[in-house]
Amino acid sequence: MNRRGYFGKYGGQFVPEFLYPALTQLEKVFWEAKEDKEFLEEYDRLLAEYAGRPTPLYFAQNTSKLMGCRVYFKREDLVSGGSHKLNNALGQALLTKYMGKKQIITETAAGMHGVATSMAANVIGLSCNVFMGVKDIERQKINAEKIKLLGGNVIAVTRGSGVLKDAVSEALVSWIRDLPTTHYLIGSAVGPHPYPTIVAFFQKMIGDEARKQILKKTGKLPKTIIACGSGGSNALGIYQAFVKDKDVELVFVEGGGTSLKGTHHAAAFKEGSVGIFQGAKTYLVQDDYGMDRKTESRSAGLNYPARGPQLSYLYKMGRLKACVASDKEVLEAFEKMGKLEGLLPAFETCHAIAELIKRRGKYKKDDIVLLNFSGRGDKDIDTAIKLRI
Amino acid sequence: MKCVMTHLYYGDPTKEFSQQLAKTLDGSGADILEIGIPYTDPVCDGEVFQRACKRALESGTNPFDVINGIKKLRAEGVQIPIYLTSYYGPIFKIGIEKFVGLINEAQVNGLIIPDLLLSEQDELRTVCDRFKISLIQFATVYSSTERLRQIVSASTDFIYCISIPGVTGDIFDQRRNLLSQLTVLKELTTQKILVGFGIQTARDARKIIRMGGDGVIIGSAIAKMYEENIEFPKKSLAKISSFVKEIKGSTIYK
Repeated sequence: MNRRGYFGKYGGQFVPEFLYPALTQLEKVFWEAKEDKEFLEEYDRLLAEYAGRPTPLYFAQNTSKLMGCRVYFKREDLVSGGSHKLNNALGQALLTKYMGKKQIITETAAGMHGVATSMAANVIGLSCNVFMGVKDIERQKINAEKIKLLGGNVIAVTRGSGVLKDAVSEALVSWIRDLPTTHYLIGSAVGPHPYPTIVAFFQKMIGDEARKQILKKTGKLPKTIIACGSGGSNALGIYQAFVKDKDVELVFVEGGGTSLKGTHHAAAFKEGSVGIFQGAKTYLVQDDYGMDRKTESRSAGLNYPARGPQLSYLYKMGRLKACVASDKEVLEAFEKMGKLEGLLPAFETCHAIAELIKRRGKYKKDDIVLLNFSGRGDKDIDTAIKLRI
Repeated sequence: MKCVMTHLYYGDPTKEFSQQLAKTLDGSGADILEIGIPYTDPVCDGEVFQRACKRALESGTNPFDVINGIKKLRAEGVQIPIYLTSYYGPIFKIGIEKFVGLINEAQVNGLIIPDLLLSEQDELRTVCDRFKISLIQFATVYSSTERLRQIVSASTDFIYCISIPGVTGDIFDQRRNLLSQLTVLKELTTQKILVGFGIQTARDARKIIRMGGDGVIIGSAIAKMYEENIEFPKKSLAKISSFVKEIKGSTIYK
C-alpha cells in the first residue's frame, strides 16, 4: 500500500469533500493506535475475554474422509455473536473511543454486522445507530430485535428501495451531519482509505492464529485456503498470514446467485469490471455507464456489488483464484454440513464449502485444505426451511 | 455582479422537458447552468434529487444523452456557461479521455464532481487542462483553514461552497458556520464563491449574499416545483421562471 491508500491500481478515496477531515483523523489515530501498547493490550483483552479468541482449528474428520485429504476449519463461527464480524467491530469501536467520539453508526443487511457493532459499542460505552432498509428489517426481524436488545438503535431506512445500498446512503448522510462526534464503523474491507487497511488489520488474527495452529498440528502449510466473501474481511483475515507463501493456493468464492447471466449474481471478479463505488476504485458489478450495480445472492452478506481493493489487487496479480457458488450449491452445502459435521454454517460460509466439495478427489491424502468457517447459520435456518418446502 | 447558478438533472422526467427547462432558466436570469448526469447512487443528494435521478434513469437517460443534450442547447443558442455535474463512477467507466473529449465538443465549461477529493484529481485534471475545462472545487463547513488553502489554490472559475453539513434539499439553518467559512475564504482568495445546498427561497439567497457569497446555487427547489406536476411538468415552467427571477432580484444589492 502506498501513502494514498492504493493497492496497485485499486483503492483510493472517492468521497465528498465533507468526509476529508474524518478520514484524515481516522488514518492518523489508526496509525498511532496500531503501535500503541495500551491500545493493543485492551484490544487483545476484549478479543480474549469478550469475543472468545483464539478460535479453534477443527480437524473435520468426516469432511476429510469425503474429500480424500485433510480438511481443517478455522472456527470463526465460534466468535461471540456468531461470526468474524466482532473482531473488526471491537477494534473500530476502540478506535472511536481513542478519537474522542461518542457515537457509532453503521448499516446492516442480514444483521450480523449490526449485531457485532451493537455488542462492541455497548462493551466500550458508545451509543450505536444501525441503519437498516425497511425491507431488510422485515426479512431479518430476529436480528433487528437482537440489535435493540444489545443496546443498539435500529433506524429504518425508507429511501430508495429500502435495502442495503439505501441504508449505506442514509448512514453516510447521518455521518456527514454529525461528523465531529460520530464514527462510521464499516464492516468489510471496502470503502475509502483507510477503511480497507483498518478492517484487514482488525481481522488479521484469523490467519495469524490459523498459521500457528496448522503448523503445530501438522508441521506443514496448507495446499489450499478457501474463503468466501464480497468485500473480503474474513478472506483477507485468513489470507494475510499466507500471502508470501507462494505454494499456498488462495481461493476466493463469490456469490453466484441464480445465474451468471445479466444481474442475477454478485460475481464482480468473474463478471464485473473496474469502477468507482462507495469510495474506492475496485472490481464491481456495474453497467456500461459505471452505475446500476444490481446483484443477486441468497446470502445477504455476499449480495454486494464490490470487492475490496486488496482483494482486487491480489486477484489482478494472479495470487488469488476467484470462483463462484450458486444459490443452489449453497443450499446443498448447508444441508450437507449439518449431516456431515453437525454444524450449520452461514449461507456465506456455505459458498466456501460448496467450492471445497467441488474439489473432491483432486487432492492427495496428505494434502491439507484450510477453510475459513466464517459464521454460523442460525440466521439462515428460516430461509433453508422455506426453500425445502 | 452576483451570480445565480441553477442545477437540473437531465432527463427528469424526459429529455424534452430538460431542454425546455434549461432554456427557461437561461431566459429567466440564471447566469450559469449546472446540468447533472443522473446516477443510481447519488450520495450527496437529498430525497428530491434522488427521485429526480430515478425518474431520469427510468426515462432511459444515459451520460451520452446528457452531453448530446448540452450540444443541442448550444446549437439552439444557449450561450451562458454550462457546468456538467457527474459522480466519478460514470466518468471513470466511460474513460477519462473519451468523456472529456465529448464534453469539450459540447462546449461544456467545467466539471463538478461531488465525490472526487483533490488527491484523486490528477489524472482527470491533466486531460481537462488540455481542453481548458475547469474542475470545480468544493469547500465545506468542516474544511480547516489549511484545507481551504489547498482548495483555493486548485480552484478555477469559482469555488462551490456547501452551506450546511448535509445533502441537497436540506434546510439552510446554520448561518454561523457558513459566515465564518465565507470570512476565511474571502481572506484567502478573490475568486468567486458560489454557495449551494439548502437554498429554498429568495430570503435564503439574500442572507447568503449579505454574508459575502458571490452567488447562489439553486437546485432541489426547482425540481420540487415541477415535481408537483410531474405528469405535465411544462405547466410549472412559468412558476419556475418567476422563482428564478425573484432569486436573481434578491442577489442584486440595493
